[in-house]
Amino acid sequence: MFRRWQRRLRYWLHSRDRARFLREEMQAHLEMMAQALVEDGMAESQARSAALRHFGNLAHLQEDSRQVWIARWPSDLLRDTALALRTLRQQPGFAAVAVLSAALGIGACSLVFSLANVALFRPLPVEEPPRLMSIAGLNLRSGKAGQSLSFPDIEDLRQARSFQGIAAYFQFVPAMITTGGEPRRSWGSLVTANYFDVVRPAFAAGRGFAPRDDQPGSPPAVVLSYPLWQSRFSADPALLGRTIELNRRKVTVVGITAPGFRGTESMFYSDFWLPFSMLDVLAGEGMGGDRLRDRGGQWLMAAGRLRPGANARTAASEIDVLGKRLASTYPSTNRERAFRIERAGQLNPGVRKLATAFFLLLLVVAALVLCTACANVANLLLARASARRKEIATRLAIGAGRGRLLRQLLTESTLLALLGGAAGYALAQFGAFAVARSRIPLSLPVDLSLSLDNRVLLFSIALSVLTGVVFGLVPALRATRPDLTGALKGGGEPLAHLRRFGLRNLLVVAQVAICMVLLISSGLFLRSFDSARNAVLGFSHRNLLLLEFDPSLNRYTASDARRVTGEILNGVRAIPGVESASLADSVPLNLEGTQNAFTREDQAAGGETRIRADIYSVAPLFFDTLGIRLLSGEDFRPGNPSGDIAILNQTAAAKAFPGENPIGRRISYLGRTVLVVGLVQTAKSRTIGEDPHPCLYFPIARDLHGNDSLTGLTLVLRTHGDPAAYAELARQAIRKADPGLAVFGVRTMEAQISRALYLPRLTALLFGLTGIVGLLISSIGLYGLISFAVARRTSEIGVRMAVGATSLQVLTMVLRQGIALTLAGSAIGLAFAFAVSRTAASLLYGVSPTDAATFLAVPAFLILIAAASCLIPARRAASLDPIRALRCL
Amino acid sequence: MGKNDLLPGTLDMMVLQTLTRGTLHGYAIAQLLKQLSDDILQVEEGSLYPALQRLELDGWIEGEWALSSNNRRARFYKLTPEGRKALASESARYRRMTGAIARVMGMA
Repeated sequence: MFRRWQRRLRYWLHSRDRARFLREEMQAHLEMMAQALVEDGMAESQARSAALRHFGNLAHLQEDSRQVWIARWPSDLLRDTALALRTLRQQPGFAAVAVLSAALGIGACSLVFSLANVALFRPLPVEEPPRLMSIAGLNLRSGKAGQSLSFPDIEDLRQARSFQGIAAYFQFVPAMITTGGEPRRSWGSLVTANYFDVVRPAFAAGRGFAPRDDQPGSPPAVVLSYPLWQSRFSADPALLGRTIELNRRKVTVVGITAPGFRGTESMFYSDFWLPFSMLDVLAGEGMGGDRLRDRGGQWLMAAGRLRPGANARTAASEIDVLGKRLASTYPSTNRERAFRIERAGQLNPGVRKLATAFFLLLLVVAALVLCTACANVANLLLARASARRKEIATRLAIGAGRGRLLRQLLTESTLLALLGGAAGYALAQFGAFAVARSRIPLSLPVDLSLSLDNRVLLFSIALSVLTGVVFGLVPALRATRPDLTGALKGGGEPLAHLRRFGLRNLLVVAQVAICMVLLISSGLFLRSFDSARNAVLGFSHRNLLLLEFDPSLNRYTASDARRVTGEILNGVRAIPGVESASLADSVPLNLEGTQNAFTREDQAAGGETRIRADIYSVAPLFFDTLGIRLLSGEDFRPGNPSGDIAILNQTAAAKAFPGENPIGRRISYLGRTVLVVGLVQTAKSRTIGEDPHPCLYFPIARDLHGNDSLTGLTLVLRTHGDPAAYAELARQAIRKADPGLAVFGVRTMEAQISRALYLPRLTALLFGLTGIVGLLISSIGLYGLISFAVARRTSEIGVRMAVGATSLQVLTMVLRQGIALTLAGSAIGLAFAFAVSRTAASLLYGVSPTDAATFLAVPAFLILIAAASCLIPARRAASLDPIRALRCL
Repeated sequence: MGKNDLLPGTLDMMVLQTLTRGTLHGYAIAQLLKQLSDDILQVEEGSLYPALQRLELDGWIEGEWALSSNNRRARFYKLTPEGRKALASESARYRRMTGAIARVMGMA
């Protein structure tokens, strides 16, 4: 066997010589045969041709013989590719349009796939990722999966024998890390000491935690992520084993994870990991230790590694059984709780459905773009196929097999698609870069880095090949349809083809229809974006500066916290030009924030009267600063009694006390009785597109030092003139109160609003972009089709003009064809858009899904563009010189 | 005679057999096969040349350029020792096959 390959290799190295040998050998054979015939008495000239006849196709024979040594398809493929490249180079216009169309379509699909890849498919960069399971709660009453767990529950689940170990972690821990005297907030996780033994990521340096690291009183240790190590510690190799300052405490760096690892949650990242012994340090006083003993509080995620030999199914049933046992042992907390496992690193099941739907929508849009693009490519190929009929017929006539020709044409279309795919991949790369840079309006650590990994590359290549084959097949089949005589004789197509190129018309109609759907959607989203931008906010958004800091990170005592925030407020109020300043745990139009239910005190027993409200903790003058009008009652005052008081907004008041004056009434909130002291006008709370939310405002003084809010406090300043100009002064004021306090999220309210418009803007942009791309592609398609029709009908038009048709008549005749196709496509597209837009009604703000303006303007626009793209070939037809046109006949 | 009309491998075996008489070029092999079979087997060039390539790839024959009897440059093939071994086992196999076929057909 080995010797065979050796010989084959030698043959291959001398393939040119060997081909010549074969030729000469057969030539010699032929001559000997002819000579034998002559000796038998045949005339010399006849003998040669008789021998040749006997021999058959020499080239064929040589091919067959060579094939013994080297399989034929690679060299065929090579030659087809070279030929395809040559033909494409001869028609750069055609190639450019086809490649560009394919690039847009494939690029869009690849980008969407890369998004889905990160969110849904990408395995975690850990040892044996399929054996790492995430364990999450399932609320049996609400059916909600992906719930967090309590620590006692996790400890009990550790009895499951299918797992080598189960680690618990809390994903969202903000902490202040100080380097070079500069404090800055980072996001990390709190983990059990066995976390790294269970998850097993690779380490760039050092190790995970030792078993005793999470015991209270053990020396504090931390593991850092590679990106954090790079950005904050300039990749200092000596950092390992040294201490860093975290929330003003010295902690020892015991490990640095390898570059790819940023935690086990999909779409979120961690930049450091701390053992549970640090809980008290992080959470402020009196918050920590108890949490670990509380079975009721569900705040942790868990991951378990399967024992060798155990499989996911037995593990799942074991966990289920343990869950049932817990439910009967601790009915008060666990009655409605069950536990489920799944492969770790997937999106939380709670959001997975939504995310999948979102990706599906994106994918449909991208696929539509791809379809229109491919319709163009197919149309161009069809047009070219009929232009190349003569060439192809000639090749068929001299003995090329149909299969062989098909293969060659498909090579060409696949090459086109692959070129398009390469360009599309580059586009997707660029798109991913843009997505990663886009700021999502959340301060949570959302990871949007879309590395286009091999999976995406493979997807793009597969999609390109598929595109090339699917959309090249019909044109190729048509081109090689054996109808030799007609093609060879006339050069033109049979008359029937002249009038209706059914398939091509159909493709253009479909393109226009898809384009219409995309344009109508983008029109609706643009209108929705517009009305969102002009929505009444309920507060005055100009001249507001927002700064965030998190006193809970600095382990203040309650009195310290009060002193520091007081100093900060006084400091900023003293800045000349600052008209008013206040503090809150959250400000309007932040997507995240607390939500909770309250009831009227006199209805506290009944469950149905619970009113869900957005909960704000605010300092005095908050409403003043933001420009939210106080309708009745009074604002909080400095040093308000610690007795529970609250201010309601109109919406909350209308729900709780319809038609009554809420001032002086009592509500029940989290088991406490709260006195309503004020009523304010309703302002937008979370998003601009929302219906009025009930809101409940509490005085902030109560929970300054240890609030549960992950995101710290927001300082709000109303300034005279450009608020951005006050940023540095405000920072200085905070630094003066405590130089160790990290300031983050400095922005103006206008910037915040533009962030709040992120989603409407994104959808409008997305659909707008795809709509424009679709329009571009369709008009290219239409232009191509009409140009082609004009070229085919040149002689017919010549006859018409010779017998007296005016150029205007010719113009309208050609235009009519284009407009008819456009109208047909538009009608279909409108019907679709009408049906689809209703389902999108929930995504629209302030605009009806059957918005008349959109449904009138978009078709008019589309038809105008279509007419324009038909006009160029139509004018070419109208300006034909009848004499020259007739000569083509 | 097309290549499918023979038992698989028979043509290769017969070519090897002709080469036991000495080195021959392609035309001579074809002529010899024709003569030896009393004009019954007419080997087409379309089968002969791929067969020669195959045998060369297997290392059973070797080709070399030389002058033919009427002073024409032609490629002469010669049997290698491996080719001789292969021929022996092939013809043994062939004898078994034809014997079996003959028994099936009731001719033996």
